[in-house]
Amino acid sequence: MSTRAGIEVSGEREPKDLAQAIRELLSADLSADASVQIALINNPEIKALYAELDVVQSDLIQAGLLKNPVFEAKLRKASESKGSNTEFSAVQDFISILTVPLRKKVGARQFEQAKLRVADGVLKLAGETRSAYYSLQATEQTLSMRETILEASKAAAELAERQYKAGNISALVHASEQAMFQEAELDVVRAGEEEVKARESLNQLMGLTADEAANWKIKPELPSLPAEDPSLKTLEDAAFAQRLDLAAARMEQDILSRRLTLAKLGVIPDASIGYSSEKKPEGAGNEKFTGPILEAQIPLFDRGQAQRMGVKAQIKASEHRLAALELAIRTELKTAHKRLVSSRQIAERYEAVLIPLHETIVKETQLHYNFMLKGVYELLLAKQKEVNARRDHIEALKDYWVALSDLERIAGGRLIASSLPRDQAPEPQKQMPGPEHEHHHHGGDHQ
Amino acid sequence: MENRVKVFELIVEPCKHEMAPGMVINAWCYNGQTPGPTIEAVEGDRVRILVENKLPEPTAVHWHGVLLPSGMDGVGGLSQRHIPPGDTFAYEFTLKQYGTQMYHSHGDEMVQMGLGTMGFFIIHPKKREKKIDRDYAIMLNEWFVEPGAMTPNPNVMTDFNLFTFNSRAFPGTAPLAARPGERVRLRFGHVGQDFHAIHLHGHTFKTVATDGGDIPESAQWPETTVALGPGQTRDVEFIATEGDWALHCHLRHHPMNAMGHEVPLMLGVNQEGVEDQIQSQLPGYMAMGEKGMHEHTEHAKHMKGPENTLPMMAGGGPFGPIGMGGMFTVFKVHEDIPRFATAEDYSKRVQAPEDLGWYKNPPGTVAESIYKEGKIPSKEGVGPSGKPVVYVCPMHSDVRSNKPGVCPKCGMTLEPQREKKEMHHH
Repeated sequence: MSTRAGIEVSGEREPKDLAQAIRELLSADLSADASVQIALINNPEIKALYAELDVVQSDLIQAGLLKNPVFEAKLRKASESKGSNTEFSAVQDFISILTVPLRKKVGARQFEQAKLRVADGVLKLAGETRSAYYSLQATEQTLSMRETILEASKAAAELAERQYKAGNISALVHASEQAMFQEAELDVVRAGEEEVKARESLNQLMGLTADEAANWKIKPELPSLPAEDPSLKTLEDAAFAQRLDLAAARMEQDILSRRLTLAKLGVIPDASIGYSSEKKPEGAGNEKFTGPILEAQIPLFDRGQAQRMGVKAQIKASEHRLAALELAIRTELKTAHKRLVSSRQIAERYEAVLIPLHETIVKETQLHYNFMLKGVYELLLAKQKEVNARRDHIEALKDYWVALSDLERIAGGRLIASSLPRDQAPEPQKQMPGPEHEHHHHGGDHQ
Repeated sequence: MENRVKVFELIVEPCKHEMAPGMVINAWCYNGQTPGPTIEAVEGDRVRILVENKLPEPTAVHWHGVLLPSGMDGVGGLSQRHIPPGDTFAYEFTLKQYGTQMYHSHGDEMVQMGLGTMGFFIIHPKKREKKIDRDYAIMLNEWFVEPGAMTPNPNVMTDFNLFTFNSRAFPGTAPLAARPGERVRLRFGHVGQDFHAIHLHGHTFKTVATDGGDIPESAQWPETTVALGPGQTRDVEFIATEGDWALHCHLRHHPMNAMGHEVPLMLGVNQEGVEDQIQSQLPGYMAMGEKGMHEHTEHAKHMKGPENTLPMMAGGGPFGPIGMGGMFTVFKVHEDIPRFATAEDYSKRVQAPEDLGWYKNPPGTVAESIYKEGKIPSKEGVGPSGKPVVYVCPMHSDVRSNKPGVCPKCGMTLEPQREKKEMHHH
């Protein structure tokens, strides 16, 4: 096994081209990670971004994106270490590797911005694709359950029909039973529509052709809850360590403060200096900067604005922007984390308590039916209620996984910050990104 | 007996009571039983009855039909203070009559009687003209117990689901017994809420006494069914005729145990096809009721119901399932019925109809099929179930006909196709 920049290559054959890679991924039951992988290769909007930044197929291959599977190789490693979120891969590593060749292609000044755009595009797409995947799983399970309920409704309606023909019930009761059956049929139609919507959503994100889109299947069931949730503190640490926009904002402050120093010494900085004059010796610097960027422009990259504003004013503005970003990140994390915790609570309660209660109700109703104490319609209704409870459980599970996916995006591509050596922890004075990024595995703790 | 006074002790308290094997209820009892112990005395006796109240609420005991001083009548608040929980009151009076009387709670009657506080108070005459060989007392009552639960709901006014003889439901009712030719007296008492019409098979009897006293012989009413409303007692007498005779309330639902009254009517509704559909989701499901309820007597043997619940129709006889419940018992009149010294002796030794064996019918006196070996000929090609009979070649199953005949392929006689047996799913 060789280590290529953080992603283990286990000697699997590398597909020759995009189409083949996609075919291979689609040939088995699609996992969430596989759908993310296809999207990152094939989504037209991300391809437009790649084209803008001159990211080509060989870069994707270098990042291991065409290997099948790429993320799951990382998964295996991650699941061996403690506290792993095994369903989640390190999209962030992929971004880091992908952006390596960028350095050579775009000008030095545009490099940071390019990195931000790539990270933003990739993380957004990965998050949306994951959410679409889990939604599709949920709608498929819902459809299947509505069909089960329909079978029970159909039997009840048929019995009522026969009762009516035998003269045992009135036209009024007969009509009521038929109406319930009709509603159940329409519920299936509605669920079918939801399923198609969800499927097309995922197709669109994965950028598949009509042929490719026709036949793939996903894993039929949402994954069960992982053993633990990441804590809010862990997520905050990760976000503050990983998010590219935070790092860029800090870097901006650092550069501005240096500029102020130079200005005080009477040195007029070259308008083109910016970041490139601060080159750090090769080999040092181990930070990874990833994360979606803020909507607002960072004036560092806008030469005109930088010239117009006084440096002190620039520093003040930059401080406020950094504070705003930190506040937004904290708020989003808290909200998404609460959603995570709540949907876990709901899903667990359904699984541990409510569904078993409904099973008991069905079982006891059957016993009452055996002794002619309750009738068949009551029995079928009890069964339908059990299926509905299972459906609600699925919804809660889906909410959990979508929340977790959102958290990954907000935290900057990885739910747990990688452990950085102490002297490379982000600090305004020392931190400068080097020309090359190297990943080091720190024992088994590397997430 | 103290100072020429017959002393009786009654403790009224909550207890557990078995309605029939498989069903126990939370009842309120006298001396641990419902109905309470029968108080027996003789006309002219002075009786003293100590009543200790171990119920959670106050009570009083009314001596129903007994002529006594107003303050001994036992109506709480009217005749006396209610007996507080924990206290013991004494009732004392001289008996001025004979006959079948009763006693029951007269504090919060709806609840207390609804949970079982009642009993017989039988006053014997000093001298009886005719000798009675067997003397039985049966207390009637109605209950509502939610299937699967244990506590009767005394709030129920008309929609009862369990009916009892001496607080027992068939197949938990003990049989009655006598030898042929013996004079039998049955005393019925009733302080429940419904009307009952108790019918004895195989005999006509005379109603010889009411709760008001003896009926003169010329006025004695001949019947096979004696009607009782709440508050009444009736004594009937007859000479026993040999056989195993049903004794039951004739209100059709009363000799049955609990059934759901809201269950959809499936009479005449064939469930072929639908039954399978339902079983795919509910594996234990079995179609019921298409052909009536008799099948339930078989089902109940291997199907489980809610816990602590009696099957609607149960009990077995010598010729198959009897399929009854509630107010039903068997009156056995055989030559070899033993004599019993006391009621306790009887209760101990006789609990189920089979305990005394079954009546041996003399030859030629049992209703049977007119066809030899059960070979019922098909009438116009219609089988026992009413479906047209299909005749099939035993060798070639594709050869089928609506009429008997021979197979064109091999010449064998076509046989009526055996009807599909229902598979029982557990």
